[in-house]
This record gives sequence, structure tokens and C-alpha cells, in this order.
Amino acid sequence: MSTLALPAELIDSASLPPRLWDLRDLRGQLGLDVAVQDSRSYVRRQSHSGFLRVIRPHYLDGSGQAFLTMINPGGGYFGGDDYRIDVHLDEDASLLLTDQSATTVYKTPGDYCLQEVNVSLGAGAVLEYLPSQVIPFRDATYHQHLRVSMDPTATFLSTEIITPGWSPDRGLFEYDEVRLRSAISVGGRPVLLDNLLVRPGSHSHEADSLLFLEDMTHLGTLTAIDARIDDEVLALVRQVLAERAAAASQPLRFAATCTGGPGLSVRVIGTHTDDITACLHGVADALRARWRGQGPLQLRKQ
Amino acid sequence: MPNTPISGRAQLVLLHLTDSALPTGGFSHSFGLEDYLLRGIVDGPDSFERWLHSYVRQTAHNEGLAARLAAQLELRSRTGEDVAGEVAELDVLMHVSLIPAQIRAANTSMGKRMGRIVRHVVPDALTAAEYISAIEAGRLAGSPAIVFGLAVSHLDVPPELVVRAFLMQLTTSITQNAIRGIPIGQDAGQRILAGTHAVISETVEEVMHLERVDLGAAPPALELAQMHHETQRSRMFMS
Repeated sequence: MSTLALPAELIDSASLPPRLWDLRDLRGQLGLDVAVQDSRSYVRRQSHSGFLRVIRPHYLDGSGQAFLTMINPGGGYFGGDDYRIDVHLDEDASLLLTDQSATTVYKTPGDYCLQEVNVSLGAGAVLEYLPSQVIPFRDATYHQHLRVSMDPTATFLSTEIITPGWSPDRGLFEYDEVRLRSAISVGGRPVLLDNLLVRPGSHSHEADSLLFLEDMTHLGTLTAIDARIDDEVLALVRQVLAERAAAASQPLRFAATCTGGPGLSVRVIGTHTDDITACLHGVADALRARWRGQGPLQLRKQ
Repeated sequence: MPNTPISGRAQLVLLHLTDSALPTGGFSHSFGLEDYLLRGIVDGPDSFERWLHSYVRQTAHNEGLAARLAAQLELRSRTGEDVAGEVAELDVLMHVSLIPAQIRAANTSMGKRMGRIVRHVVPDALTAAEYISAIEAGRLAGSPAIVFGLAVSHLDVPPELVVRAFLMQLTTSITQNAIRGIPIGQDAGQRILAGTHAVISETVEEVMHLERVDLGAAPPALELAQMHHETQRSRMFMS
């Protein structure tokens, strides 16, 4: 497949943190440009090609926030597959972006698949990017590169969950490598570089388990950047995490810290996707309520 | 590594800057180890040795790569190139890649201390001197690995040896803290330290093959422990 051209004006790539990887021929691309009219956010322009598209916006509450669901009709990610998603939010636009189902990464022997997500947020814009879990199967290598360039008055929140795939005998598949690299700039200044690397397929993984996932199998992360983040917000986030962890079906471990931005970062490790999702969405709900008076997330997934 | 002769002065500087008593403030930081101690996961020589080997391996993408990149910037600056912008960029990326707040604080305070020492030990390392001034003025965050890389590379020490020396210094410092903190005996500590030599060499090998995109790649449970340390009630260490 030839490289799919993206309308260049959707996002100003010069303002993004540098691309330090190759983007090969794209298997799917999606570009979204969201603006506001009469207090409602709407998709002003979009582009899509290959195996990525988006379902028309829904409005889940009275806030005017647009809710968009991405779909991948390709049915899974394979070696050599690259995807690119560009999201631009105009001043004061608000978008809740998710996907229809988990990102399944099949075996990528001697290769990898890569997803690049580029985000630019204007003044006062709000993006909540809450994709489903990534499920890497045996011999899979998946790299995600998220780049965010945002105005100091904008709000960014994203979550990621890695769930190992199951084998037919109900054992956990040992994927090769998952890398989730997120580089965030606020007002043109780098404030956060979250570079997570998990390599169950590496020769030292068993020996290194104390530093990777201990005795757990699933990993969740949440990143929030907002000028209002301070120790009080961090304490609230820790309280929500403790409540959700106490209600979880299985033991899990969590922690949160303040980052530059101002921002905060959460890590959760456990053994069930639903437990981790509940923790991360609990944090998102608390911040939605505190900052914008919005009700809890109700992601309707088919 | 090929036989690369380094000057007598460079050898003395390496011995000086890797001395286990070097006052970098490393004495006060466990880099997440204390959280494992408080949870009883690291409780003696064997569990510490396993933890330490893993910890050394993950420095490849962090301090190890930062020291190598700094050393290579110093080599380029000596051919007359202006690398000030790239040194500043490396400093910022290294700093913001440290997600747990206490690890960022440790990086800055140890970067400042290493800077003060290097001013005395290698006063003629001009790129390092400019970097140290920027740290002291609060314009840059400070990283001991970058200070070390710039200063030692100034003396024609090849990047592999710069990284190897910095990782040995870091490993010695954490082992000293484990000897006090777990506690384990001095003899066990030295045996464990000797056992890290092969791990350090493998890690240096890996560092030499990494790229800029790899900077800051961290294992999640270590970061979780480093974050969790903030909420531990009684702490011996600042990280």
C-alpha cells in the first residue's frame, strides 16, 4: 500500500515534539479537526483512509463535549502495519475520544507495528483520549508514539492498558515488546517524556520481573496535564485509586505522582483489564467532575 | 573495547569521580529500593543482588544513555561545533523523562553536587562548565550523568569508558545504601558489587547501540515503587 497523504493543515507538525522514528507506509490514518459552535464541539474537518475511521459524534451530556469512537475494520494489527492519528482541537473545543474495541496485535516476527498519535490543543481545549486496552499476542512487538503540543490553558488526559493475549490452553501469551512513548510539550516547552518499555520476550525478563510487572500481568497508565494540578489534586487521585483498588476483583498495585506540565502520572499493575480500567476511569471521572462538573464516563462500546 | 590509551590525568580523574565517598548526595537516595525494602520484597543479599542486576540493566536507557550522549556532544564541541543547544535539549529530555517526582528531585540535587565537584576536578572542561553554570542559574535541571559525560569525555576518555565508569559509580553508591538500609554485611556487599561487573559490561554494550528515541525508557514496576515511596510514612531515603 502506498503512503497515504494527510492533509497537512490539520496539525502543525513543527510544533510537535520531534519524530525520532520512521513512519512506514500507512495501513490506516485518521485526521480530526474539532471546533466549537454555539458551545457545542463538532468535527470541522476530517480525513481518513485505510483501516481507520470514526463514527459520527455523540453528545453524552449537556457540556457540549463531542464523543467520537474510532473503528478499525482491519480486525487487528500485524507486522509492518503503521497507523497515524492526528487530532487538532480548536480553542475551547472538547473531545472524548475512544475506540470500539481493543487493539489486538498479532505476531510480528522480526518486525513490529507502530501507531503514531499526534495531538495539538488550542487555548482552553479539552481532550480525553481513552482507548481500549492493547492486546499483544505471542511474538508481537507494538510501539505507540504519542506526541502532544498544547496551550498552557488546555487540558489533556490519556490512558493506556496493556493486556497480554490468551493462548488456546488459557495460558498467557508472551509478547515480545510493548513500547508506549509519550512526549508532551506545553507552550512549546517539553514537560513530560513518558517512555514505557515492557519486554516479556527478552532473555532477562524473568530475572527483571521485580522492576517490570512483579507478579502481575497487566499494566495501566494515566497521564493528565492541566494547569490546576497540584498536591490537592494528587491527593484526590490517590484517594480514588485506593477506593477503586479496594473494590477490585483481584489485588493490584497503584501509585501516582506529580510531573511537569503541571501534570500527573498514574501507574497500575494487576491481573484483570476491568480492574485497571475501573481505576483509570475513576481518576478521569474525578477530574471531569472537579474541573468541568461533568458526570462520570459512560463509554458505550459495541 | 580496543586498547585505548588514556592520559595519567584522565585516569586520576576517573578514580576521583568514581570514588564511593564522592559527595554527590547519592547517600540520601535509594531510587525506589526503599519501597521494595519496606514491602519486604528485598530483604537480604540474594534478593538485593537480583534487584540490583535488574536496576543496572534499566540504567542503559537512562543514566547510561545520557552519559554516552553527553560524552559524544563533548567530542563534537572539541571540533569547534556549537553543541550548547543540544546539551540543553538533552538535559530537558533527561529530566522530564523521570516521571516520579522524587527521582526528578534527586537528579537535580545530584546534578548540582556533581557540577560543584567537576568545577574543581576538571575546571578546563568548558562545555561542562557552561552546563554547570546553567544548572546553578536554574536555567537547566541538572543531571549527574550529563555533567560526568561532558567532563570526563573532555579528557579524551572514550564514550564506552565514560559510561562504564559512571555506571560503576552509580552501582557502588546504591550498594553502599543497601548495606546500610537492608542491612547486609560489608563483605556480602562487596561480593554483590563484584557480581555486577559483568552486568555493567553488558549494559554498556547495550547503551552503545541505543538511539535518542530510547532515552528515558523505564520499567513500570520500578517507577511504581519510586512513586509509591512518596506515600511511605517512615523513610530513611529521600527517594
